[in-house]
Amino acid sequence: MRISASAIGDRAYTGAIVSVCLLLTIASPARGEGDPLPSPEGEALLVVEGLISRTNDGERAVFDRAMLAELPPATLETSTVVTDGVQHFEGFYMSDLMEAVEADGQTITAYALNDYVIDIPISDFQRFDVVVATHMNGTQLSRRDKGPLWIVYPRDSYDILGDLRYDYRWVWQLHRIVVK
Amino acid sequence: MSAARGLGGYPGSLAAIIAFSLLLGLAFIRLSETEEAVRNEIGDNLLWVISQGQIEALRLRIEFSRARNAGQSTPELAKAYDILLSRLVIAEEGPQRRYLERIGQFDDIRRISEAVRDREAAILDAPLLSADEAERVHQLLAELASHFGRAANEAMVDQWDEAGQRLDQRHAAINQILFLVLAIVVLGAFISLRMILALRAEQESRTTLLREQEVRQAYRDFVALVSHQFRTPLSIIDSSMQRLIRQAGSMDENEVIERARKSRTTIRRLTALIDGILNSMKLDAGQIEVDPRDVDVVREVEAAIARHMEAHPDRRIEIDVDDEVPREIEIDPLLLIEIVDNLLSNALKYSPAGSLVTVNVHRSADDLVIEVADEGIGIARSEQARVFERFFRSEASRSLEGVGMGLHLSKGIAELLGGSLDYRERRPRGSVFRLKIPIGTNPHRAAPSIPPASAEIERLPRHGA
Repeated sequence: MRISASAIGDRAYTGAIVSVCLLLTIASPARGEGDPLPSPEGEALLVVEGLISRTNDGERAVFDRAMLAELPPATLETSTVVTDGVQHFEGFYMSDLMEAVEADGQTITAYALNDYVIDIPISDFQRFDVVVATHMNGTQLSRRDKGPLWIVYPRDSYDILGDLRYDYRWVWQLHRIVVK
Repeated sequence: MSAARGLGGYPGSLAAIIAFSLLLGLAFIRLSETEEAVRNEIGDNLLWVISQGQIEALRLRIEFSRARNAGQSTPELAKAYDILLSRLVIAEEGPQRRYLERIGQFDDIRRISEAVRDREAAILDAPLLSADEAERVHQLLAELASHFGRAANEAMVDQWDEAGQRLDQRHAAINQILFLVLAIVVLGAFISLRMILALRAEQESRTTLLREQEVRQAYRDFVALVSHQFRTPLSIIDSSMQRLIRQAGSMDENEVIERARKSRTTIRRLTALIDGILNSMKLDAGQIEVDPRDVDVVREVEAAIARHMEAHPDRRIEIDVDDEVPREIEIDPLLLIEIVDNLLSNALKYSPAGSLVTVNVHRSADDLVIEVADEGIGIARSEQARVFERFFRSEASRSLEGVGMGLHLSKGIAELLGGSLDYRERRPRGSVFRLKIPIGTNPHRAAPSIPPASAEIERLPRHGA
């Protein structure tokens, strides 16, 4: 590009370049650090706090059903300790949720609606493809059953998950997660 | 071998090893069964589920009251109701339901749960209810809580029974395992013992074999030695006689007499050799009879010395007698002098001409001691322990005459007389042989296996000096 000798032409050119750069920055869909989550519109289903970088309410990341549905879909067929037979679960992967909030910790503390509390190592999510289920056998999980969110492990796929010490990680009526 | 047979032999060992392996396998199976039983304890989970039902029923009652007091339905009321329902759902499905059925609590809980669900509208509209209706809700929830409480009770008792049973089973299993281990240990000890015995038996037979080989070898050496020692004098005599035959006419009288005398000497030596061998055999067979008499020991020894000096005019033998030696002793003189002769001839043979041989006779407590000392080549340290063995000839004596019977025989006779014969080094050079014979009651071994009337008993022939 030939640089014009005219001073007016230079200023206009520089300004154009700067504007384009600004626009690109603002409009960029790429996730940078501290890039905020969209705000929830519906009822809050899940709150994530602690060592996370992406938030939408101060230090917290609040998710409604629609936001959770935006996470990559996950399915899981497995039997459980409290039901008979094999159940079909749909939902999202816990590891995807951790990525969505840019979690940077070793453990999560999961809280259920009835004040049940349990610590789960984050390594579980990579190792076992743990699913947070929103639907079971085609039906949306409700608060009057084990919903709205139920942490489900692929129990039938790994022998070690038959161990009692994994049973108490199946948190039903999950509503809050703190990353540590 | 016999020890191995004694403990059941080879079939016994095999049976023990099979039993051992079987028991080991059984113990392992039992152990892993016990291991399995430890897992899968679902009862604890149920108790928690049941108590949850009770808690949520009570919590709902609280929220219900609060909502009525506040005059409006609260989100907490709705939440408490939903959660209670979720507990009811869990109690009504899957393993939880079966457990409640088993402890007989399911029907009641089911009934009340249905009643609660029927009242859903009333519960959620808390503030709008009349006092009576509210009271009924309270009672319903209280009943629900109470039934869950009862179910928890029953579940706990049931669990304790189960736990007790499991403990019993575990105790039984552990006892079985302990017993099996004990049996294994016993069998192990048994098998080890068998092995040790077998090894020892093998060791023993190896030692025996070695000893047999040694004896055979010694015998072979003896036979070779003897045949050589017989042949030499015999051939000397033969050649002498041959010469006599050839030169009978040209020899003068003195020459003939000289040759004859030499041959007779040789014959005497040969006879002595044969006697020595035969005596040794007889000693072994216990065929020597002891004939004690009252004897002047000193005179007998002096006589023996005189004989030897006559046979070897160039040698000197001195005798030294202690004052305390009694002049009369009860002893078999022939046997005694047999020993003394052997010691004297050895002393002369194994010491150089010109050196002195001394005989010392003294008394030591209840024993008569005769010591024969020379200034000769002595006996090497390594051979001293073996010098009284039959057929033993020291390295130094290989070139000299003898078959190695003398000392063995002498020692045997000494012991037959109730005494002993031993050797010690002499400084600066030489040997001392010490003969000890008990005086007085003179215990001696009776001829063991042959009755006195037998014609086989002989007196030891006295061989000439």
